Amino acid sequence: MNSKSVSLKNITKEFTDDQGNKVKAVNDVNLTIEKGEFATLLGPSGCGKTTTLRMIAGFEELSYGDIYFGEQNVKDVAANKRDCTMVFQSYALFPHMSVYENIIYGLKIKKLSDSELDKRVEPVIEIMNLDVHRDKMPNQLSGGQQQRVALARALVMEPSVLLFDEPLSNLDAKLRVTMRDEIRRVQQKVGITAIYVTHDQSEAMSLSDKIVVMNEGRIEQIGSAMEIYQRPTSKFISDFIGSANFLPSKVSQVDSNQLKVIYSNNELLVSQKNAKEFKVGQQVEVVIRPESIHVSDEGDFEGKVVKSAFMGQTQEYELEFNGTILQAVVSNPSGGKIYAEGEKVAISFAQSSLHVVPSA
Amino acid sequence: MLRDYYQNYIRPLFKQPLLLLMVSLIMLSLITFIAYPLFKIFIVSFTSEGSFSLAGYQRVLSGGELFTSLVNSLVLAIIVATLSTVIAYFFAYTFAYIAVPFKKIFNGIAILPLISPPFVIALSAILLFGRGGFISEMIFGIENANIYGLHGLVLVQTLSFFPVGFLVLSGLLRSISPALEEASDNLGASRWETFKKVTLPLSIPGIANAYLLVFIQSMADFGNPMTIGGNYNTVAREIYLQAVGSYNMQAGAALAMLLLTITLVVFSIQKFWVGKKSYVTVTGKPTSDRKMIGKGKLRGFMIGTCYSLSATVMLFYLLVPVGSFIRLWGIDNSFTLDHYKFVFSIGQKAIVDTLQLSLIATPIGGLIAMIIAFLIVRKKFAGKKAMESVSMLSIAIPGTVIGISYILAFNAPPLAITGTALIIIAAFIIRSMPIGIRSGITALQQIDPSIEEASTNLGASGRKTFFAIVLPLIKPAFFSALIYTFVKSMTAMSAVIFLISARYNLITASILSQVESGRIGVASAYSTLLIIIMVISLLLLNFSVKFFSYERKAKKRMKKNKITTDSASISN
Repeated sequence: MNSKSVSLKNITKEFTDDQGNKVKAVNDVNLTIEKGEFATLLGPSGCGKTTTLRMIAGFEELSYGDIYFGEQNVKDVAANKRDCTMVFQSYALFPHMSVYENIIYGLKIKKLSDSELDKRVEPVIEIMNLDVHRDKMPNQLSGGQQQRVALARALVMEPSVLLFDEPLSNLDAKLRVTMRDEIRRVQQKVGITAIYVTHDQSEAMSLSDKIVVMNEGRIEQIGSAMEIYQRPTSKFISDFIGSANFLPSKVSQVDSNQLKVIYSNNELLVSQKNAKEFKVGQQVEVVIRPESIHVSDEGDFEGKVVKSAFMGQTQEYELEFNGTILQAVVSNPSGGKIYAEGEKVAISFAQSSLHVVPSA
Repeated sequence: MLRDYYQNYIRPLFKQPLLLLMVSLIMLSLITFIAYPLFKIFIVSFTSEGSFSLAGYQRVLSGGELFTSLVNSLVLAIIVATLSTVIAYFFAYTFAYIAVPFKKIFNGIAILPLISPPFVIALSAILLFGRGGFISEMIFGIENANIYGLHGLVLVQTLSFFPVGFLVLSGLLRSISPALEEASDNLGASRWETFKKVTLPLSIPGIANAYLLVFIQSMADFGNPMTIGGNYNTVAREIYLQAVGSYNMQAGAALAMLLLTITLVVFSIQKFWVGKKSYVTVTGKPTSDRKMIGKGKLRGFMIGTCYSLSATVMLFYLLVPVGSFIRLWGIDNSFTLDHYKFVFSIGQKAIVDTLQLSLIATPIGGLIAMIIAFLIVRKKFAGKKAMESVSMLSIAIPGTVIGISYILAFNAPPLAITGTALIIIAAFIIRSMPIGIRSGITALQQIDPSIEEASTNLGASGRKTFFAIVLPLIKPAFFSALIYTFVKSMTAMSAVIFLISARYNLITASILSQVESGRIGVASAYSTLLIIIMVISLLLLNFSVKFFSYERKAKKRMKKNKITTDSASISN
């Protein structure tokens, strides 16, 4: 496999909307994906992730910027000459061709000899478990099977880069998890560079070496799943990845890797690696994940239960804390005490799980 | 802005030489055969003896024969559109809401008029109600019955055009979600109240649509007024008489401009105003099937009416073949093959010419329609909007207007091609193209563009993608465009009647001259031939659409793989 790295340098896509205004669907994006890495472009719809992917594939022309596969600038390479194959959201199987004909379509265009063709196709059919389906037509296959054909068709081309455009969004929830694992397994087995577009955070987190969160045409943050969840750089990301509570606060003290903030007369201590980026007196938001709120009889702060719902695995609370409603999730509620609506409770936060982002 | 436009619309043309070639060729043909002739007719209508003049319009609007024809056409169109819409709605409602036995046959009747020769119904009306007519004289004993005139036209046009309205309305009624009516039912409304307060208001855009479409058809109709109009002169006929009869080109052009203006205005209203008013929304949620009314007194009445109306239409079509075997209808009712002998001896040239020209026009027309549809749906290039509107616009241009404009445009250099086969073929193609384009567009829109992208992504060139992926997927549309072009060309009259010459004669023109000289038998024989050709083509179309669709391929494999599929489902 001749896997290559992919670099996007200042790529921008401009278009003119119906009112004649210029809109930047992708705005000055810089990104490098290493050889063999699995990177996910994650973001809400309209954030520019699909446009970025389509520019990499060559379906959209760049307004500005360059795209490199390895050392080669592919900006002016036509879509059908680019060494990257794509798995489409709708699978885009050719409905008038059998599974086998679909898979060999690209190799036939390359004019491979029959023996070479077999050498490439058979192992892929093998790992994708498609042998029994090879003579069927696409509309005789289930969604998951069609998905595997689409992936096989892309894999046999042995491209430098494999592209995925929300490939699992048409599958039901259970199959989505199975296929997700399958994609990751195959990608690691062949060691190919993969770029994957999705709006589903659990997909992104379970698949990726690197998650690229996009919003309004720009990259908001790049990092591993854990980095992005634990140390989001903005309010948007903390809200978009997982669920989060925000306490509007003011910075009162800045140390080398910790901050003191005031939230309506309550002082909170937050460990923060980039503490130096904040200034005393700055308006910030403290991010608290629902699972890092402890609800008990005794604790640091006082609150009131507004809503309490038993969900089986968890107990979900809405807590009023000095005018802010906090969502809290307590695991395994059957083992402990459950508070009812209207009850006064004590709230504490695990200090290590608190995180500060600038106010939007 | 300019840079954007260059990048998105002009640069792609120069990056793909094949695309550039296609676009230029098509643009050139559209300009030559649609835009230029219309421009010419516009100029001529304002010119007298080489200088600007309103004399033509003055002649038309100052009263007299020309003005009467205009008023007559409007009156006729209003009556026919009203009647046809009412009948069409009745039909459409019956078929959408009531369990009707043998529904499929009636769908066939609905598309008959779209492809039938333009005056079959008029011919049988003469056979039934004319002098010596089957009903008028033999049953009611009326001698010298007169079917010619407004009443005859109303009868004939309504029977010919209500199916157009039916197609529009049944499509609309089918797309109304049954859930809306169930909701009304659930809230306590009776069936009549539900109809009055839910179904009818929701179908108003469709009713307007049907009305306007029939209106245009009636205005533009040439064959029926020529055969059965009698003293009731209509505008399409008058244009022909002015241009070919008295060779008054200026008056003819002015009248044609007025007719064109009316049809274009009505077409625009239909397309841009009514078209946007639709309440029917596609939600993508599967709607349950409507529960058909299976009993009730009204049901019997409605089915009965529909059956008898359909039977009437069928009778009208069947009468023509019968008439073709009768020596002199109403006077000497003996069996004869003389009419066919005439048709296949002296009249043979018209058949050969028509077949020849139609067969040349068919592949060109079908392919051009598919290419234009593909360019419109999938490609970005400068001038796309213009290409789309001009090619679709020709559906709203009455045939007689095209006919007179071709005489004006192509009688003199630089393009003196009247009398040649080329101009007739061009007229055939231009007249049938919009429908082909539309079916191509519909077919392409149902194909996910990412299928073509996938082909590109796997290394295929633009041409390879078109031939290996696009064309196989739109094969049914391609074949229907081919058949439609053929049928439409075989039965064309209004435009080409201006263009025939000693060198090329056409079946429809021969029928007309036979009718004019009172030889209904020969006219019937020609029409019967046309009907047979039409029926064969339709069967062929039906067969080919089924044969070439890839679903069939899948079914075939399904049978072959029955065993493997079963074992596969176990392993899954």
